[in-house]
Amino acid sequence: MIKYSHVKQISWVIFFSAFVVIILAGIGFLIITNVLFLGFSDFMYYLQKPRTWINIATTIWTASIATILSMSTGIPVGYMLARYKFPCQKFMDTLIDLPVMVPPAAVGIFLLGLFKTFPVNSVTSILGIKVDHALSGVIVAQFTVTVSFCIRLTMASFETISPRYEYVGRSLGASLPYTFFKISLPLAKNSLIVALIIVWARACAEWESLMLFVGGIQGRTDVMPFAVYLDFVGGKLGWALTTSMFCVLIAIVSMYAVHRIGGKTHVR
Amino acid sequence: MSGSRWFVYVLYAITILFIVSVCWLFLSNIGYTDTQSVLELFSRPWFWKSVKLSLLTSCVTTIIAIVVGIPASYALSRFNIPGKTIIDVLFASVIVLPASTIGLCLMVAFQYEPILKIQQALGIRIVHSMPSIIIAQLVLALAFGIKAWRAAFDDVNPRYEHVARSLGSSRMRTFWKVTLPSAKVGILAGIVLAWTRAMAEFGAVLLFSSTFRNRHETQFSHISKFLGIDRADILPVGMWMEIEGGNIEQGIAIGFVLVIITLLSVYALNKISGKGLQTNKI
Amino acid sequence: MIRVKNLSITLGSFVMKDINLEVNTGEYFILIGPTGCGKTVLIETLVGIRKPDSGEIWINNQNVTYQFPEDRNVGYLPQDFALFPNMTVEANIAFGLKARRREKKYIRTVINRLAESLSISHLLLRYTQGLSGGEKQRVALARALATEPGVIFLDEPLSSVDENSREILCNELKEIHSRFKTTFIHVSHSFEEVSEMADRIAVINGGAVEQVDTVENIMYHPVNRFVAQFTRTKNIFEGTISGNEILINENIRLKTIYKTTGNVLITIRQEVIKILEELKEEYDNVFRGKIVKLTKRNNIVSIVIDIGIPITLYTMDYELVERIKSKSIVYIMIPRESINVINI
Repeated sequence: MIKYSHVKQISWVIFFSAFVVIILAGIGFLIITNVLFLGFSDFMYYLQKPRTWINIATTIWTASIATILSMSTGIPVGYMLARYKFPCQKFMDTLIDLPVMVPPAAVGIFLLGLFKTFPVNSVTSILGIKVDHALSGVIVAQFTVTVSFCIRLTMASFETISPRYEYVGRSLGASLPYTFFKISLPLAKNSLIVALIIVWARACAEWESLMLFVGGIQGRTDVMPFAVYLDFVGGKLGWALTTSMFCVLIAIVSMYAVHRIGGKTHVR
Repeated sequence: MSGSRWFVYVLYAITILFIVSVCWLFLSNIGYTDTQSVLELFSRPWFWKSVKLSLLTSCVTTIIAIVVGIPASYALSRFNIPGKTIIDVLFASVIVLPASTIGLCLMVAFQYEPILKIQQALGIRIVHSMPSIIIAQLVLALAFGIKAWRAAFDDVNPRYEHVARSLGSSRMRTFWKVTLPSAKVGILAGIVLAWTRAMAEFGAVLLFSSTFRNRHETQFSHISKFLGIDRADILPVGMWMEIEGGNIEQGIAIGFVLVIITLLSVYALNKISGKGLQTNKI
Repeated sequence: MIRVKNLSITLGSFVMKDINLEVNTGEYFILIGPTGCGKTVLIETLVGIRKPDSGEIWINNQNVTYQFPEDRNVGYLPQDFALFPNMTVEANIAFGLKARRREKKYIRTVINRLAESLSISHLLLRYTQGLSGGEKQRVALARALATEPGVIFLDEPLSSVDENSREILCNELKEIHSRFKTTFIHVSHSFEEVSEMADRIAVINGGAVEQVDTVENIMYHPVNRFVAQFTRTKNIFEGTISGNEILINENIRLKTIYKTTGNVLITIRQEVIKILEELKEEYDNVFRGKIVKLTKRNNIVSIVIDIGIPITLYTMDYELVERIKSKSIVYIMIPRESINVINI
């Protein structure tokens, strides 16, 4: 016998879940139409072309360097912000949030201005680094877009590790760096790895700032998102779609890894 | 022991260096653009139309995101939907997708044969139209919104709901009177985040909607002319067009407009939640 | 020997000013006070986690006021013991010695010695999650003792332990202390918990030290109302004294051994008041009254008698209680020397 209250309960769940289904349907619609349009054989065809793999490789190694740079800044700064109080805390919070929320396109344009003005333009000319239309510019853009985001993540990681461990470690005679490397860092390991994966995935997907900062020339600054745009504009839909699908693959795999590792973070 | 002291100084130095760099990123551009460019920009009617267009589309996008996203977030937070893992991973993946991919997928999806036929039957063409801006913005606004709203609902102890219902309140009433107010801070924060992300959208709009500024007058509907948003692009696209046209100073000026809008958002966010972005909730 | 001279600490709006304390080497010293009184802040400053505004801290004839914790050679057990979760018990104990770069052989000897001494040898290769409260305490102590500190600070070590284990842990702490002869400074919020463990106690309230003394003196000669209440003295009254006679509420007179004048606060421990089965003329401070309340808790009978003011007394003489239980009038005697007089 179906009770009225049961019906109410189930209809309640169905009502809210319906919205999830709507969104899922939207995503499914996008993915399926694209997959159907491209066709599996075409996908394999384009995937086997060296050009595709050059793009993929470029994306991966530039994103990796940018991620290393981001984490190298992110871990120290995140630790600092988690442990110490700074004067003008509000100003600092705004400053850290700003680069995350500012449109990446705007970040790109500011990087353009930054590299054309003193002192940065003299430094780059002295060192002979070329940023315009070059891969170094790609790395700079990927780094700039991800670094603040990275800091927020690392800061949250260190905030979950109680400072008491460091106090005890130091009372036993270990210096702060010793306790940091032997205790805090290992305890934060899982959250930091999650942060690294997210930052890397974000760096792989960065394009908007590149459009404004570096400009795109075939074969030189082709990271995957850029290749998608260029191929699209050039009418080469097959190439563009294949690269796109690969981007989607990278995104899903990264987020799945985050999901698996994220569940194993140290409690405490 | 100097070990600890040296360590702290190095950390301080790196942090200060970072702060200075962020400030300089913005400040150096103030020098690059001059007041004349800014004033010239403000005098162009196209600029103000862009502002209106950006604001209008973002607001509509945010409203749609709220209507669809908040119930969905609640469902994800509270119910054990089959395949939750896949759904979580999927929704999280959207945030790390390149904007060009999103734009391209949208383009292909709406140009797909059967879908195209539906559009033709209805007499509309979605690709390259103004409503398409909203669709393009919606993808990421929804992704960010759901992330924030889900976290907000996760933070509300289900015990409050149990108690309310034991006191006789229906589930719907409990949701409106107990759950939502408890999650108020997180919900508002999510709304601000979704709106800001919609304002910031560039890549997907570029590929899906293309540009509007250089189109002919007749291509715009009466509504858009009435609203004063014809022949204008959303701000980020407008900014890019200036750069492509060699007009870097005005492009940077638009960039600053966007930064100021972002600052207002961040300020609003800080005011609402008392803390900054809670990106620790993955 | 730990000496605190005129220490002042500010934490937000909470201020501790001019704290003075002396703890003798090898003492079991207890800091006691209600929640929020500043004992944790004080401990953290002594360990070196917090910087004081002014004053000096001396540990074993060394001025450590401005030194980092790693240079003070102290032991620190926070409330939840903070055993490093990413290391085995063995590694936890070895941590301090490894940080000081001692040789492996020496470290092994110390670990084995301490593990045997504290009966945790069977736990050495385990990770610290899942250990019982008592095991955690012993591991934390072993870790602190390994570096032979001048003093070990324990911040409420009994709070995170369930009630059944608390007494056992108390005895263990006292026993370890007497065996290793290290100075212990133990922080607690409960007088009952620690009254049997301490050599001396410091009572802290609102950032100030109220009294430092042996347990007995704190119980029988509290210096103010707060200390009396905190040690659960139930008989606290205000009155006036002239000569050696105290007048309370205009009709109750108490003879004391003090001679002074003015307004006073008197405190009388409930354990010292005697019940008289029959009136005896030769005693001073004999009063008659009615039994208002009689309760038995643990092994102690608490009787409240109204003699014009409510007097609480404790007794374990059950037979006496049986005899007087049903009587309408009871006589009590308050010994002169046990009345504590505080000038106010």
